[in-house]
Amino acid sequence: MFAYAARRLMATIPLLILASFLIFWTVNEIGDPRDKLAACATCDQSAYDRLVDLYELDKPVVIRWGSWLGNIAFHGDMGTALSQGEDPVKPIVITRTKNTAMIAIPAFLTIVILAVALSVYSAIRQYSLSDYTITALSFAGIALPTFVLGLFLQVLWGIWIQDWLGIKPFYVTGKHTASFGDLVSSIVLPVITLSAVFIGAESRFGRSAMLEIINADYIRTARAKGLPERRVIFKHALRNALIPFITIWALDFAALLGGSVITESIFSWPGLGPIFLTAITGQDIHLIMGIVLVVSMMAIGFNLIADLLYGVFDPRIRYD
Amino acid sequence: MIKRRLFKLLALLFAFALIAAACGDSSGSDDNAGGDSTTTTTEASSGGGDESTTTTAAPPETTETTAGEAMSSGGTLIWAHEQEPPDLHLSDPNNNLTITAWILQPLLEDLYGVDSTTSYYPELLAEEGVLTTNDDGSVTVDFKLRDGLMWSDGVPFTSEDVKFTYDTIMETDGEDEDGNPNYILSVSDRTGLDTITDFTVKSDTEFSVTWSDFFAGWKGVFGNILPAHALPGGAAEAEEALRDWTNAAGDILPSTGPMVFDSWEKGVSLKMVRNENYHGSHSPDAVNTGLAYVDGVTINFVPDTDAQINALKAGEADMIMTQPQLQFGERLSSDNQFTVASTAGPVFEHWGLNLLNVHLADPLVREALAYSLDKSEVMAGLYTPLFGDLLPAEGLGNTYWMSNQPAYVDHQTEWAGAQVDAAKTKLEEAGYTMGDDGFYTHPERGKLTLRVGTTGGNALRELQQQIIQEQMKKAGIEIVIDNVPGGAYFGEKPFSDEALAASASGGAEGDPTIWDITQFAWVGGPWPGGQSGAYKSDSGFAPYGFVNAEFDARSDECDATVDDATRADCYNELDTYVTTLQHGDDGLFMLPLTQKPSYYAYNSERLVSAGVAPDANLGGPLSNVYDFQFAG
Amino acid sequence: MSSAAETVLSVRDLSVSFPTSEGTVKAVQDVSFDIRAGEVLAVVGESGSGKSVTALAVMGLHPKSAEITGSARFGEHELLGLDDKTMRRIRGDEIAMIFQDPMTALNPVFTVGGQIAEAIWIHRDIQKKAAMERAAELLDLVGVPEAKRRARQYPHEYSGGMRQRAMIAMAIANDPKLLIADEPTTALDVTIQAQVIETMKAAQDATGAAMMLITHDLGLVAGLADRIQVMYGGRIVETGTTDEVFYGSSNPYTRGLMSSIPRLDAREAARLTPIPGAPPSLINLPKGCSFRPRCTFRTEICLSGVPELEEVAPGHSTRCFHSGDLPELEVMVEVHS
Repeated sequence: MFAYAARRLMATIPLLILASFLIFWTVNEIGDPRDKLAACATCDQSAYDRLVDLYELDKPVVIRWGSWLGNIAFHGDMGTALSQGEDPVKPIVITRTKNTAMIAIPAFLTIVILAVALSVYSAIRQYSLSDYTITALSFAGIALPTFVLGLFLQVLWGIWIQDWLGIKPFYVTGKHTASFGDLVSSIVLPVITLSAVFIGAESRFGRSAMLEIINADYIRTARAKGLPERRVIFKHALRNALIPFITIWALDFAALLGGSVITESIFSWPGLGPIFLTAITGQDIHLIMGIVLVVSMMAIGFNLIADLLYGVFDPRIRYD
Repeated sequence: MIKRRLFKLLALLFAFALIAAACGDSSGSDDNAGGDSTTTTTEASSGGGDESTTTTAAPPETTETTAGEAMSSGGTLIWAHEQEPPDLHLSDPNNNLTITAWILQPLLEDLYGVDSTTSYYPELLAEEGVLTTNDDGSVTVDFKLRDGLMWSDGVPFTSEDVKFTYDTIMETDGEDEDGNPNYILSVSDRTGLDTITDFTVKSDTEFSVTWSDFFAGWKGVFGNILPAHALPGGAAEAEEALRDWTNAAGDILPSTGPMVFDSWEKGVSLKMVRNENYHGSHSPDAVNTGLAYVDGVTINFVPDTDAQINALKAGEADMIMTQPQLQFGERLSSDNQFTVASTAGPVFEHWGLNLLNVHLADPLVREALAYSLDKSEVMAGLYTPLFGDLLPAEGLGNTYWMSNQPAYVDHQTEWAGAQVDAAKTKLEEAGYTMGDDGFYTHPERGKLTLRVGTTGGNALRELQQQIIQEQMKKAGIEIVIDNVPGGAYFGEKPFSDEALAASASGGAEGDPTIWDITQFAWVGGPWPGGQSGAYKSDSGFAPYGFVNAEFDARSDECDATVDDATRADCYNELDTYVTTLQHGDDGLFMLPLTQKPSYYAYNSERLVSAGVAPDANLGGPLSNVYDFQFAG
Repeated sequence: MSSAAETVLSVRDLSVSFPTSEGTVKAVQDVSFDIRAGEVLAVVGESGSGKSVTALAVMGLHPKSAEITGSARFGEHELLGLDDKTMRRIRGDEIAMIFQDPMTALNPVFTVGGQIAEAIWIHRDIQKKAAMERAAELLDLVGVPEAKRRARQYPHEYSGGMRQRAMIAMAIANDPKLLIADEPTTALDVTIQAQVIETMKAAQDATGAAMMLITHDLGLVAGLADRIQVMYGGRIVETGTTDEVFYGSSNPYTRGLMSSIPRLDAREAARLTPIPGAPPSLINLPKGCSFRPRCTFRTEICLSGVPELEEVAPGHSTRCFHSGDLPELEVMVEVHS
């Protein structure tokens, strides 16, 4: 299995390199950091020159991309962020990723637990009132725009019922001096907002996967053996249903870690989402590349983990 | 076997998850040199004092009780805002954001401030500077600073600081290949500084400056004075220090204003604390001329404007200041706890007509447009509902002076209101006949169709266009609205090399050969000399096709006029060249519409006094932060 | 063979119907039979005749929506309508079932040995480890080579025949009194079928269990069964000993079945004679005798109603108006001993 993982990782490196070039080139085509200076008629030449120096704007795209890549590969330096007062990119991206992880990971756990629970429940109570209710809620979760849910929760907890259960509708500032309790209470609403759509979609998916499995022959065998229904569902059926869930989870977790612009903006959460937007509108090429690199690596990483997990959970799959 | 595989992988995953979730001490994020000061949103209103007044008036409001309680001080003012500056180096042309200026406003003071009538007043100066014109045409001003000025760290503020600022801005390390001086400090605009020939310090409070020629904007030249004692490394050190407000030794830069920079958690909030050594404001609008009442100000960066309103309503913020929106009216002004107010800002909207267009070249047609344009309807329809009677109901009638400035004169009263018949008369006089479709047409020029463009995506602006479109339709003039998104507006034709800043900090005009009429906004100020730049023909770029040698000459004369009052009248005269037909058939191509108000909302239950100073020079909500006071 | 042994399962007037959107499906109607200890009863018929449905009803494996009436006595229990808890104790322990498709009958994510062991420790007070060892023994018993190693393998590593043998091992793990085998060889290669049949014989001998063998493969029946029960359209149409049904059938349908089997000793170029037509819809059964539309011996009387199941000889019953009028059968060479 490790050999397989190693091979896969090797194979993704050229992929990442190619992707990074495409994105670098695209961002470059969109605009030039010097554009803003064009609006300033009385500006000095020195302002232009600084930018040209800093970002090697006088060289062709390939060279610039090459130096960016070289900096990362040999010096671990991700460049300087034009839109962040020329702070170095790496600490920014790392901090922001950690912040996003603070809501992404709890959201993921919530999603996993609820999606599985709802799928199983819906499947064993197919066509019952609860099944229909859960279905309706799932569709609502999928259809409800994130910003509506987020703002609604904020109004609910910030204005209508304030401080209920101590839950905070905004990011608690002074994060590093805030208590753990404060931190937890400010996570709740963004986590709910983030999870809603995923729970909706995954439980739909899980329900049909479970239904298919429940009608399989081996479940009939299990019952014929005299196994209690609980064991039939939770051991025999669910174990099989988890396999397709693994792909979904890998994809969804990667999406969560990529940061949600909407949720994070509404709750003033300093994660990857808002800063990615700032980077794009500011044509901050180094920051954009830094974020894209990190997010792609996570996506690739999680896909690989998902594949490996298959190997663990599905004995029919071999990695030679 | 499967169990072993499983455990191995789970262990790996857990480790990964822990690392990812760990809120470690992320070193990069805290620019915290001195530890956090008050971060608590203290319920300063102990016992819930309801002293709120619910008027929607603009200017500062106070209640007598608080004056009697003297320093009912304390509390941190929380301001939620969506924009975060990349850094605090205002002059860096890469960082030319309004929020940066707003943050610096309470930190560093200028020699001259700008008051609510958008006029200069002596701030750090004890009195007006004394100006003498020398024999050789150069001009010398003798400045006298106030006594007892002090930096927040206790070091006295002297003439040396002003000289230091000038030297730092002008410091170079040689020349570049074109022979231009290689300045070290990034500064976008050295106009008015690069013509200084002499700077003499006479004493701690007296110094004089000589310019080679009279520069009409001299009062605004010495702004954001830097601390000489905190930047021993000169321009090189300043260039870096200004970004994160910390000098090479790691000390926070001291302030002359009512607030001192404290810390900045990027992406989250920026904190300032009260300057205990503040010498008090000299602004004629200031009610509190001592130290600020509040302990400090925290700016929370809330990217979503709906969330800002939520923050305000939830008590997570005391004040917001942002683009005007309907939600302000719906959600806030009906709630007694909040006050929604506005100030007349220095930005004004206008329609500019392209004299090169075949129809618009005819002054009769332009008059017809002026007659059919009903500014008061635009005001009543768009601005009064949001801003009340803050702005003149008849709209703006001058492109040099704005309605809150003393020199203001409305030059377009002749065409005020909807004078549809007068408009039609003019058109028919010009040889147009009414077509079947309700629009006029000319035998040679064709149908009277005019394209107007603006930066799209702004609901208020688009509504404005539509209202005027309807008005002109009544007079048989067809207006076609053709907007492009903001960025493209400037890039539709490659932005010409001769593009001109129409004012000290305004943007430039789009190329009117694409449009027949542009709807745009300019920024006025206490010294409107920059306006001429958009009209002068020798600038190499005449956005409206206006070429008038008489205007050019008169404009130069005005700029050279030393006396403030005379100069003010001079500018008024210049304005009549472009807003009326008094000086010839090529006039009346500018239709100023109205000033754009700044809009803010604050919690009037908690804040007893929060008169955000009329934002007369785009100074932002902290222009009079010393007047903010929480209910005791 | 059996002598006057005790009755293990006694089914009376069993009817099963399913409500569907198109109407009620009368899958089984008024089925009655007995199985004695150690006896092999073959239940034969085409697809849709109700064979599997009968078995599943006895096991209690139908969904709740099924309407089941009648009686199925197993020892002291009345199986129909028995509470879940008791039924679960009986299933897999006293009555075991082997299903048709071995490829899908085992759970792909658990080891074969583990699944067999599960059947054991669920019903017995025994450590899981010991159950695993017993599972390996059982696999050995049914002829799976290298049983200990194989027990730790997964179903996808077994061939079809081996899987079916594993199923058999699982079924006999707790020495059941009754084994129900639903088409156990249908999904297997012919060559493997023989092996599996042998295994089943051995298993039955070893446990002395009664077996209800459901199949449409008459060859299989010939090799294993003591008695045969032919079903058509949800009803039993003939029942008797293997010899009686094979060589002396008094039912046109059964005769049709017999003559449609290809025979090794047939004359060259003899054509197969299939039964014309198709099995009836269980929602809309034809008026009168269900087989009438396809029967070569039909007359007016066949429309009058469903014929009763009547004895033509002791232990040999048939359901046909013309049972007495059917022509003599050629006596065929016995193909089994």
